[in-house]
Amino acid sequence: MAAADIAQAPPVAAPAATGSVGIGLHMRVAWRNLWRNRRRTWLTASGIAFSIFLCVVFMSFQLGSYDGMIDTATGMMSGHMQVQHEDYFDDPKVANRIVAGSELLRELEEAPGVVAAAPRVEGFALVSVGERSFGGLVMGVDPVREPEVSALSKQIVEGEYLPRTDSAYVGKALATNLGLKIGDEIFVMGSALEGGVAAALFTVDGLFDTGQVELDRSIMQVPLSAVQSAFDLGDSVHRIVLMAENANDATAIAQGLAPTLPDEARVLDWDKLLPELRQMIQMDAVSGLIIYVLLLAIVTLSVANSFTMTVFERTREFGMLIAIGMRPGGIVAMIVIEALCMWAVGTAIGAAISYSLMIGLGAVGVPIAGLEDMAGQFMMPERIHPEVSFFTLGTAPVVLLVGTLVAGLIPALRVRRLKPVEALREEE
Amino acid sequence: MTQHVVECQGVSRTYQDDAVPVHALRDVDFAVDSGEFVSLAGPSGSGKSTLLHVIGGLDRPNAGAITVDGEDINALGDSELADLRLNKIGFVFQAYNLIPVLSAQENVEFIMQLQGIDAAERGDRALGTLDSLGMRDLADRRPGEMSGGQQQRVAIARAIVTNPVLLLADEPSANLDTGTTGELLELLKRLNKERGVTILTATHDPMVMGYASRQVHLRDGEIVSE
Amino acid sequence: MPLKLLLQLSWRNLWRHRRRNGIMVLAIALAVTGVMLMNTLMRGMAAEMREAAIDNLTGHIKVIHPGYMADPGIGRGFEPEQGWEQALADVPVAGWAQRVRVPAVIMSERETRGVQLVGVDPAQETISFLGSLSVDGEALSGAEDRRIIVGATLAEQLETSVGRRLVIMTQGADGLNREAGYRIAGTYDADSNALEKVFVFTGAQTVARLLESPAVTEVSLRLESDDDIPLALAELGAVFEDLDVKAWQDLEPQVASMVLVADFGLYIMYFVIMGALVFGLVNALVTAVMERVRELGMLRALGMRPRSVVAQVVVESTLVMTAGVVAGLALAVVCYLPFSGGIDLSAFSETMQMMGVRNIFTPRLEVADMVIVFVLSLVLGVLASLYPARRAVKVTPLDAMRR
Ligand SMILES: Nc1ncnc2c1ncn2[C@@H]1O[C@H](COP(=O)(O)OP(=O)(O)OP(=O)(O)O)[C@@H](O)[C@H]1O
Ligand SMILES: [Mg+2]
Repeated sequence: MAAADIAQAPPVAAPAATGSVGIGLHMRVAWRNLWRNRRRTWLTASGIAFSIFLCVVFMSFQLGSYDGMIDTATGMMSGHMQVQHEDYFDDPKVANRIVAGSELLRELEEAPGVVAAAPRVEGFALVSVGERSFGGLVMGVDPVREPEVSALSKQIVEGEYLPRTDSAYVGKALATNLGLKIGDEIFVMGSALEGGVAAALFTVDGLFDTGQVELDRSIMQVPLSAVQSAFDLGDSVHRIVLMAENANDATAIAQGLAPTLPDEARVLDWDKLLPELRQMIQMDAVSGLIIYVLLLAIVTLSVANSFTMTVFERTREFGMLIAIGMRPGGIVAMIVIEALCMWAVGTAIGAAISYSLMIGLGAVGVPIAGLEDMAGQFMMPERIHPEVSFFTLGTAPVVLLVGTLVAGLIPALRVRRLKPVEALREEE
Repeated sequence: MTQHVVECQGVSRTYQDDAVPVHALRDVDFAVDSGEFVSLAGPSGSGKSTLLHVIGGLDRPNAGAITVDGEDINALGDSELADLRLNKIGFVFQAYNLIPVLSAQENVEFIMQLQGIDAAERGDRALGTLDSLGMRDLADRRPGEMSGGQQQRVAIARAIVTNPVLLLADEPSANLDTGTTGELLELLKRLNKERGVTILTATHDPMVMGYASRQVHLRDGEIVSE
Repeated sequence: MPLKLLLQLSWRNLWRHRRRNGIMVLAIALAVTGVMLMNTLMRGMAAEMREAAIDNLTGHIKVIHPGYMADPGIGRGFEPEQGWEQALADVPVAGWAQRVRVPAVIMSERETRGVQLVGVDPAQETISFLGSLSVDGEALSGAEDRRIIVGATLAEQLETSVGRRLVIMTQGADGLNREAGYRIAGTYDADSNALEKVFVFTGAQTVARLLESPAVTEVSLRLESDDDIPLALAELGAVFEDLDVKAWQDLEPQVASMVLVADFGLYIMYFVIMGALVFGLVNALVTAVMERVRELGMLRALGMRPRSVVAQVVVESTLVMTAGVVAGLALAVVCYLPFSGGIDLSAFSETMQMMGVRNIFTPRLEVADMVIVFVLSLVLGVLASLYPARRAVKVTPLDAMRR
């Protein structure tokens, strides 16, 4: 080393210094610091990946199953919305009817957002074959419109769906109990509107099997006009079942329809028609929420722990950085960026696995094996299509981003209280 | 204004240790002139490190006034103290001086980045300084890949690259063998002579004392002789 | 190494890093509390569904004609032999009841509905919901009683009230319709409106007279405990040879599967949540080991056996786990106690009714589940310490010197 070298070193007047550094350097230092303790970083990042994976998968399946449940449940009988007499829902009496049925039906078919509409009249009646009889709900439907709003017509196992004006569509269980076969005549008797006797003769032209024996035994469908005349109902209907493009639009469409309806009628969306469905979804959502909160809270704690250890180990290094003129804020920023990098690594892994799995399964759906019994009872579809949306895929990563920031920030803030002299005295 | 780079008047530092006060510094009057190479000597526990710390603004005295390059340290807030260290003071410690995840050159550049100097100038100056300390070939090594002496040179490069008015060194040779210590002292001496860097070092090492232009002895927190 | 020294060392080491280990204990406690509370809800739900299912005329075991489920009616009735109950001498039975249950149509002056007509001997019905019903008016006095009691909701729908008459129509064994009028003795209020709409009760003899048949359609049995079901099934199977003898799990498969779900749910939730936790636990343990390389190397140099090193790490892990689990279980109990009497869930009433659960929902914190969680956690604590312990054993005295 020549003495001249030193003398020639550039004489520089230090510019006004701020003690803060550009993000680029912070990133580089943070990233490298992160890999100083590979094992710890991998463990923590795996924890992040694990919980993101679980949250994404659970959420996608959960929300996916709700859509399936709603579609299955509304598609069975109730439809997305119904227009009824205002008292009919609480007190389903023959008299609680909408008088000008066909006119309202025409209007509703034209209404914005309504994709399909079908009228129904209903009355409880005694169904007899020869000397045997059974009590059940006789439902008058429009054979053309009804299949657009309910799945019952598709659950046919024998014969045809209401081909003639005196056809009856009967549950298989009821047919067995009454000893009925296709082509047999049945006699239906109930109380008509004004208290008189409603009676009509039908021919069994089709049998259905929904898998729910009680339902199959207790309802039958016949053409609308036959019931209207038997029960003295004229043009009246009890319900007009409406379908929207999507079940989720029902509430909004129903709100739009409400003011246009006649005085005695009101519109109910599936939320109100099937209150147990909404409540079941809410209860399930709450229990899911508890699990998500727990999972994410625990991972956040483990990230916090990881940084507590990191900060503890680097106390001396931080003391040195402060001694050479770095501000505590800069060190805090560096640790927080480290936490962000940790999040990015864990999220990249968790997201890569769970997203590809969910997008794949979302397309094909997953059959619920062995749960056919439950499927009937709890209105579950036979296949769940996991929901792939910003919400299901994005929630866990975003929540954890905030969690990780906080988990890094809290131990990092201790640096602000760090006494450089003590830090330097700290044993390595 | 005086010519003093450092001036201490009646500086005391007392630690309250389990109700028994420890007087690390008692009423110290002390000054370092520009261009001096002062070595603080004294037995362990005599207050050498404490004096360096209060001068460097890492610790605050209980009483007394300290000025560094004309600035009253007592009047400065924490962030102003950080700026003072960044721009006017260079620090070299006994060990663990460098940021372990950065290479030698990056360590030297780091402090200039704190100062906000642009990349091109940073690179030139870092390499130039490392070169002048004979460390150019090791510019890409990380601290873990260098010997103790090499690490101390990088630490010195980092301390002087900003052209501080004062270089504080607390037992810079404690972890080094005699040969390496000699080289290090040569280096400090030349920096002192040729670039006029003012140096204040604390040491037990008689060899270091020999290189200094002035020796100050501390005992029980008091200056006993100059 | 003596256990006492081992515990002492581990305890001091844990205490040395209070913050870090405190976070771990907090995380474990949070996880355990969460899992336990979810579990109390699920257990409560399953228990209520099960109770409700057994109460709603099912009992633990039922004897029915093999064809009754597909074609319920008196045609599928049977006549139990006198003294059949002798078969139950060795079984702890809470009670049994013989019933005639047939589908019927009930008519008021204004409305007509489909119902299940159930002929009972009220003295036997302590085993079903009928025994604890609150009846407005009068309850049935005996198997001879010729009056009926109907659900309050049904009475409303039929626009009728206590003291008035209703006409009931049903099929006899010959397939021909029988019809008779009955006076309403009282209306009952059940937990679920669905029940009220379905069941109409009268004396067993009354139904027998109407149907002109002495047969019953079911014998329902309530036991002291679920554990006795297999024994009772075997004994009854021998007496009622040509009939179906079924446990409630077969009669109410949905409820049985919900109870099963609750059993599995505990394990699933535990492993999902504890899975996330293990990463953090291993992390803290490995760090504790790596920090002590010098110390461990020195101890090895002094002659400590590798086995003792492993023991130390395992003990530390188990201590952290135990502290967390005990805190978590304690917290769960504290959270549970205010609700142990029941939570008013009227907001969710429709679902609850659909699932056969009452409006006042009683969560159940079961000691057995707490023990399971505790034991699982100890096992997990040991498992989590395996990797860190292996790292610790690998530390040689030389490593320690080099550091
Ligand atoms: N944080 C503290 N709390 C209590 N006493 C302290 C503290 N820091 C330093 N001391 C005491 O102050 C006195 C001076 O310490 P100092 O570190 O300045 O000595 P030193 O001369 O640098 O010693 P050495 O040569 O061993 O480095 C000592 O008696 C020490 O015990
Ligand atoms: Mg010292």
